Amino acid sequence: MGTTERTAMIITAATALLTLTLSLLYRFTDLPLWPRRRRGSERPAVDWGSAPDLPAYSYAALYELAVRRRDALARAVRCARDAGLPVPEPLTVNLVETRGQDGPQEGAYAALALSAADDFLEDCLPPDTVPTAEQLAEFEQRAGRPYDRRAEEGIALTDVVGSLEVSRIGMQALACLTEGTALTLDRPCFHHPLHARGTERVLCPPEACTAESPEDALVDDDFVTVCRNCADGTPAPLLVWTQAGEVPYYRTEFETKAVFRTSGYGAAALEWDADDLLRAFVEWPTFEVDHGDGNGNGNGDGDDNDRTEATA
Amino acid sequence: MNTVDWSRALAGLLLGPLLVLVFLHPFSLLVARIVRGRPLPPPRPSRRACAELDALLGEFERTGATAGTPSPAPASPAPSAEAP
Repeated sequence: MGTTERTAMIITAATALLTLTLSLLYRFTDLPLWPRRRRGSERPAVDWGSAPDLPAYSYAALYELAVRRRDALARAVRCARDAGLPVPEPLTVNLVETRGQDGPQEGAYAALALSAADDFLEDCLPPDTVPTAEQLAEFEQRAGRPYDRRAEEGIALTDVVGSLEVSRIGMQALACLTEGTALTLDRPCFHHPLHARGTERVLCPPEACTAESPEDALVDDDFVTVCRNCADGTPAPLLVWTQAGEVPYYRTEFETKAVFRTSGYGAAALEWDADDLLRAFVEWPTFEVDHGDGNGNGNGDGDDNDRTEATA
Repeated sequence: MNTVDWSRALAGLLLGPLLVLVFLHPFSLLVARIVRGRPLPPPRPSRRACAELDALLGEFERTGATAGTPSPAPASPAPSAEAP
C-alpha cells in the first residue's frame, strides 16, 4: 500500500468518524449542532381564556385575538402532523366519513376546526382596511344603502366570535388526541360565547325562540348552556351593531350567519357532538340535521317541519 | 522518499460521509435498536414538533382549558332595538 492510499484511508476514516458522530448526536440528542433561528421565543403568547380580558370586547381587539388563536391552532396542527399524529389535511377531510371510522377522530376535528376558523376569518373585515371609492360605490349599488363601517363590523363580529370558539374546539381536540381521550364539547355561554363556559343549563330565553320563520328558529332544545353569572343574574348578551342599533346575536337576521344563532355556538344544540357542530360550521349552508328522532344523528330522513337548515 | 498524490488522497473526504450514509449510520441504528431492546426514539424533527405541540397545548391548558373563568360584569344595557 502506497503512501497515497494510506493517506486516503486515514482521511476517509477521520471524516467518517466525524460524520458518524455528528449524525448520531443529531439523531439521539437535542444538542444544538449549528446556530438556529430563535423561533420559539418570538411566538406571541395567546390568551385562550374563555373570557379574554379585552376592552369592551372591541372588534379590532377580538379580531386580533382571533387571528392569533387561528395561527396558534394552525401551528399546533402542523406540529401534530410532523409528530406523526393522525391529523389529516383539511382538504382531504371527508366530513361524511369522520363518524364511525376506526381510530380517534380528534385529529380530523382539529383539521375541521382550523378550516372553519380560516373560513370565518376570511369573511371578516380586517379592522385596519380602508375601502376604496370604487368599493364604496359598488357596495352602495349592491346594498342600496350607504356604507356603514360599524354595521359591517357588526356583521363580521359573529364570524370573529365563531373563529374564537372553533379555535378552542380545535385545541381541545388536539389535547384529547395527545392524551388518547375522546373530545367532549366544552359548551360556551349561550348569551355571550366570550363569557365563562356554559356550566349551567337553563330554559331557552323566550326572545331567542321567536324567529319569524320556523327555519330560523333555534334547534328544538328546551335548554341552553349559560355561564354562572348569566344564570344567576341579568344575562349580558353578545350585542351586534346593526342599522337599527345593537341587538343580541341570536336576534339578527343575517342569513349567512344563521348557523350561529341556530346553534348558539354550540350552547343551544346540546344533542350535537363535535362532529355535528363542526360539520355545521364548515358545511353551512348545505348542512342539514334532522331532530325528529331527538338524538341529533342528522340522517336527514325526517319531517320537513323538524328540519333545521340554512336559508342562505 | 514517497510523495503523496493529494488529488487522490483527498477523495477520502467524499468517501467518508458516503460510507456513513450507506453503511455506518444504518448499522449503528440497528445496533442501537438491538442493544436497547425497544424502539428507537423519534427523530429530531419529530421530537421538536412534539415539544412545540406540548408548549402550545400547555399554554392552552394554562390559560383557556379551565371552565371557571369568571365572566365579566354585564356592562351593556339590555338590548332595546330589534334587528332590521
